[in-house]
Amino acid sequence: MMVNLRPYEWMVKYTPQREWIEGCGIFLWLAFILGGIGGGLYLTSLYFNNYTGLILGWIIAVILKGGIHLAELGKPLRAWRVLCNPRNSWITRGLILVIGFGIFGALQIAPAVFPSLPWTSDALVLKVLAALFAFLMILYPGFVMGYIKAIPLWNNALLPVLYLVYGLLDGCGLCLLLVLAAGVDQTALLKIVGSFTVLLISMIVIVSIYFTTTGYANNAGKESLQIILKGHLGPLFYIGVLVLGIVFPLGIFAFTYLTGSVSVVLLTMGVICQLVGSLSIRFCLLKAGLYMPLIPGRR
Amino acid sequence: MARWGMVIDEKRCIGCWACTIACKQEHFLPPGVFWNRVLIGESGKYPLVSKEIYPILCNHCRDPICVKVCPTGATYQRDDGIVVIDYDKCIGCRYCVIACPYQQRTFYNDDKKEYFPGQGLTPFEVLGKKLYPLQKGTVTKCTFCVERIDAGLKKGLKPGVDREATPACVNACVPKARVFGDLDDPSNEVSRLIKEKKGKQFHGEFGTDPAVYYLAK
Repeated sequence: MMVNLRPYEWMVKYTPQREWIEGCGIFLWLAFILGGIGGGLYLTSLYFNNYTGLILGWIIAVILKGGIHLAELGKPLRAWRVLCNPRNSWITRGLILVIGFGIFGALQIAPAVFPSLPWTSDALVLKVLAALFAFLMILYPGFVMGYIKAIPLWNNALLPVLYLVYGLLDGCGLCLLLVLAAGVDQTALLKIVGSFTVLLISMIVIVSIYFTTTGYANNAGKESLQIILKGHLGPLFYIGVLVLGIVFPLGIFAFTYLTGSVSVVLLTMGVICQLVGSLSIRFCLLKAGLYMPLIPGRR
Repeated sequence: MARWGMVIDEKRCIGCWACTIACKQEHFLPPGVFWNRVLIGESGKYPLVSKEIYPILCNHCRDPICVKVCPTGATYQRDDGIVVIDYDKCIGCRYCVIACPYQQRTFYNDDKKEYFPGQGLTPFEVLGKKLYPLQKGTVTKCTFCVERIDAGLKKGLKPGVDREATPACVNACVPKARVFGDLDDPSNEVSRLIKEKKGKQFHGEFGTDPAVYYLAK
């Protein structure tokens, strides 16, 4: 029997987490996104050999993400202490990954900016290490959130994969914009468009499986899903995630890839819409995270 | 080494909030910060209505998720099972606040709040800021009155038996709904109550093994 109470509804109803999305908690959403975009841009730029993308990806992931994380902390001057618990805390592991990417990424990019250095940007060891750290850096927010059993929407093994695919997709989109701006030949452009389309299709599959498995989770998971699909996050999900983030870019990129006709305006719009979708889904996931009620759970 | 725990008898609790007030008074907690709460409400429909009262506090779990997720080691578990926060190490990332299935942690980020807005701090608040200085931008929660336990043990007192060594909320409880003691000692009253009256923990499915047990009505 549900207890009907006013002052502490969080104890008798499914209550949303607020600390990581409201107030200065919004910075965490932004930092997780920038980590994905930066790492994704770095990886795709490495694959497509785009130095501007490598530098931009490093700046986004290390400088911007790092700065925003500091802004989110209650005591930013003590941020170095985050390194104290790598055995258990995913936040510590995340910082180690960002630092690792910062170091190896900088070493890999440096010769492009300072040609007098004794090594080159093509050094395989640096490329592999920087790519590995970038890859793990995109994944780790999924582990940070997925570790929390108290919020069933997040406690899903697919969450890191979802973050990875979105990170790569965002990075691939930005890499495409850089290539468009540089005016590279159409063959290289279509190669990126093809990769983007494949990533977009992978993302559709993963999002579908993620939401289906959440539907089979406990009641708090189902309630979270209801909020996203039918509740106050519904408009954001359907317009932001589905229409702008999936349908619109998929149409544009599939058309471009299949016909081979490149429209700069359409592709740019497709990438921007996909970025909106990426922002929207991560906002939905953070905002819809619900706790089980404290009281009826034991009755 | 003892493992301190608490038993709360729902049948005895009358919802007087004495524990909440005693806790606030003991630790000079600022406005909006509660380490101890009492949930009072009703269930059912007239004429079959019953009053529901649940005193809530940090569960000081045996396997605390808050300790695991803390990136700085600011939240740690003592040998006696009590989970405490070192405010000098806390960076205010709020991972522990998010991870606690019992939502018993508070992010203290507004040190400007006064009990009487616009009238300045009361002498009580001024003293509190000196004796128990919470740090803005850090997380706070119940400590099982660890300072009372430690001071009492040094004097050879027994927590849960001697008032001086017992948490303030237990001392203040008028109907003696709260019992404090050593969970690892089978002869202790808390162990006896849990065994005889089938004490239950909140959300056992999370595997945290809370040290606060409830005796159902």
